[in-house]
Amino acid sequence: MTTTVASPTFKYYQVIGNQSGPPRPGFTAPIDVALGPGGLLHVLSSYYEYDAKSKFVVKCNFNEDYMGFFGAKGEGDEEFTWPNSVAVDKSGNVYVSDEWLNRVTIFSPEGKFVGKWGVKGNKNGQWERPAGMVFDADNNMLVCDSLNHRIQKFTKDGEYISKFGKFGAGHGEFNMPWGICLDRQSNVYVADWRNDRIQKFSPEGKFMMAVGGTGSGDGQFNRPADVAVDADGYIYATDWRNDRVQVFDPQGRYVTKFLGDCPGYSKWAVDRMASNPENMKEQRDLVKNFTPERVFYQPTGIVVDDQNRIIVTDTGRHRLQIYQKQGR
Amino acid sequence: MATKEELNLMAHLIRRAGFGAHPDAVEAYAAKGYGATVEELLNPESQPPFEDDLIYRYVPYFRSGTGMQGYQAYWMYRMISTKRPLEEKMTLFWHHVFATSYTKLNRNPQANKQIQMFRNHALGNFRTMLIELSKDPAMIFWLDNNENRNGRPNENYGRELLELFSMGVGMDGQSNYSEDDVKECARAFTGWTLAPGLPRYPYGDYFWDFEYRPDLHDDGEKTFLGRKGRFNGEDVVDIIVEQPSTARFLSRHLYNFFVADEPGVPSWQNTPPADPATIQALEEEYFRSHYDIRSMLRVLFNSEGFKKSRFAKVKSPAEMVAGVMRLVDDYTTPKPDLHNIAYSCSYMGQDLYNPPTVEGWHTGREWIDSGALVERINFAADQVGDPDKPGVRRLVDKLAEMGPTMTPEQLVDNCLHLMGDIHPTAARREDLLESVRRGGEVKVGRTKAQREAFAQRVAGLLRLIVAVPEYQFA
Repeated sequence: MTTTVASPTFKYYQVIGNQSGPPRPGFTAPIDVALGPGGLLHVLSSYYEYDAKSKFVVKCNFNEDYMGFFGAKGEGDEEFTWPNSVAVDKSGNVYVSDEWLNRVTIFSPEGKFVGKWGVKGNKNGQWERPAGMVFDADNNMLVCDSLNHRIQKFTKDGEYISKFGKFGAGHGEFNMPWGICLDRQSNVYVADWRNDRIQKFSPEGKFMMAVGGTGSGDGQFNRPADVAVDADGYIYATDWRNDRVQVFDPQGRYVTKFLGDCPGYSKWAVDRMASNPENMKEQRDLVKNFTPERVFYQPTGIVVDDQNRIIVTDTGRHRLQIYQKQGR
Repeated sequence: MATKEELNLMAHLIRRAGFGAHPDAVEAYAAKGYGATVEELLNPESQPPFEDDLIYRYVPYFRSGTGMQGYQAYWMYRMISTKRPLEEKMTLFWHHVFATSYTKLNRNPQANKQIQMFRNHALGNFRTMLIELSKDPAMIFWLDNNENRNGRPNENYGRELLELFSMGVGMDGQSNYSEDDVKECARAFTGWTLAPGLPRYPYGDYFWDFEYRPDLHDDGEKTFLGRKGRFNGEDVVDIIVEQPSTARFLSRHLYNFFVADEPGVPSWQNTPPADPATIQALEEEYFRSHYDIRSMLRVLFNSEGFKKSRFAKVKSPAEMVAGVMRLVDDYTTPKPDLHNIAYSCSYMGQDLYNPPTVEGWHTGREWIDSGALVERINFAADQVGDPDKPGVRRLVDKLAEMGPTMTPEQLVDNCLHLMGDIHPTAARREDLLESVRRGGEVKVGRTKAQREAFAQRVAGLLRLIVAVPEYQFA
């Protein structure tokens, strides 16, 4: 007997963004996004190293209300050098990992510095370039320990709990893992960056499934940066150097891909462009090919909310592109 | 094990065909032999590719940024860390020859895309390079070929293609082409234009595309360098690459860049090459190989003229900066704030992506003025004077292996040898010796404190060595 299962459909939902740093509403190379209480978006930007205002976290919502920012480039307590990932705990505290400073920095929901932890090394509880982070149901944090090629679990205060994985390309092995997420059953999904695949593990870290392989064909990856899973177990991965997002079903079968469908200006962009509309029109009237404005350029972070909205940081275009799953 | 002379020759090759190297790397090249190393350099695909993914992960704006500082830092990082040094050196060579400045473009990613095009064709066929150059949106905008159309020709690109990019105004006292040839060349390139990209805001920079517009092209008969036909751009390039003057022009450029400083391009019509035998060998290889750059470089690096040309060239700022960083082995893997290293190159007078005119930079002794010299010495001294830099630490260890004590002469001469066989004048060598003598007996020591004191002493000597005038030469 053959059972045919209809694939879900997706529609474009929204674009949020504009190339701008604080205090103007915008992002500069947003590389990760996390959802906080009430669906608040926390967007981490990491842009110029020669401009202190180019590395920061912006808080906003789907109405495109700009709700402030915190952080700057540097090595101080409230600063970032190579920020990689953002996560939010149940209380709304914001955690930012930094691959150069080898630490996680914690901010209050209001964006005030609360603390930091992390020790460089390769022993249990130490790390080399912490990357993706995710909180589990117990409010513990799983972290991609990228240059030790493993996943470590900590309490939210940085106390070591457990680890799994080692360097390699076999099942359960990693090569510079980047993004990480959990499904509703607490299974763990890791963007195994330099192995060009997504791996799935049980909550205890036992290998369950690998998806992908090197290439640009459907189902293949060129350096996947992040992964997200929806309530039905569908897997979404940013295919970083192929400039797309790929979707897989819960069994790891390729479903579809998003190339980017930005329809035009976001609300923030409209506000910005309003200052000189005639000049912009003049420039745009010369353009024949608008595809580059629609598509992804260096998509990096990805998260799915409880309304099946798939939020992607379109890093090279300084915006979020958001899709929505329509059901099956 | 390589002889001292073999090591010195290898250090020379790596300075010229690359950006210099730590003595450890020079020894490794020397162990392979000169001929094998030349072939390795000429075939960069035999070596691991540059790890773009790694640097883009840590510094995302190197791939998609808007600011020029990022692209300058990115390119400098490539020069410092590449395992394919000749590929990067030739990319710099083409940037010198086909000088394009980002300041007019105001589209920095487009300027970087041109550099990537140079890299893609760095060691390939010269005809292909000229075709790609003529289609390059940055070049089209830089020299106004987007305004070159049937009935209203703009001669800027056509003129520079002949004068500065392929033939030169003349050789052996004769003109290579006429004013009419310039006009006909420009007509052939009418309609070679660009499709405007989207504006920068609100979502960042976009690329222009090359576009051929038949409606803007002058399809009429033309007379170019004595030939008649309804020439288009490719036909003109085909005629150009067949000219003896093109062989001469390219050979002199390669000689000036890799062998010895020559007078500037404008004087080549009336100033014969300093080394006619090597130039003739390059010209012959140009035609024999059907315009293949790799083949010409093979002849060049194996020529006696090249092997005997040690320290006949003033280092360009890019060579100085990348060479020092490769010596001290810092920023050879990703690290924050690469832009500060790239700034040093600009301060010394070579603002990458921003040559002063379409003629490019004036090289040789024109690199040096009092301000630039101070920048060069300070930069190099700061780097080699830090014993915590990995490359400096390995130099110290290498010296320590030579014995528990050494005379001031041994310390100075060994350091000069490890820095690439530098030969200061007798008076300057005496100055170096005197500074060592003032520090007392040279002991390596066994304790951590003694070793640290030795390291500091070596680092202090290295600071003085990079300040001797001879260090400014490659």
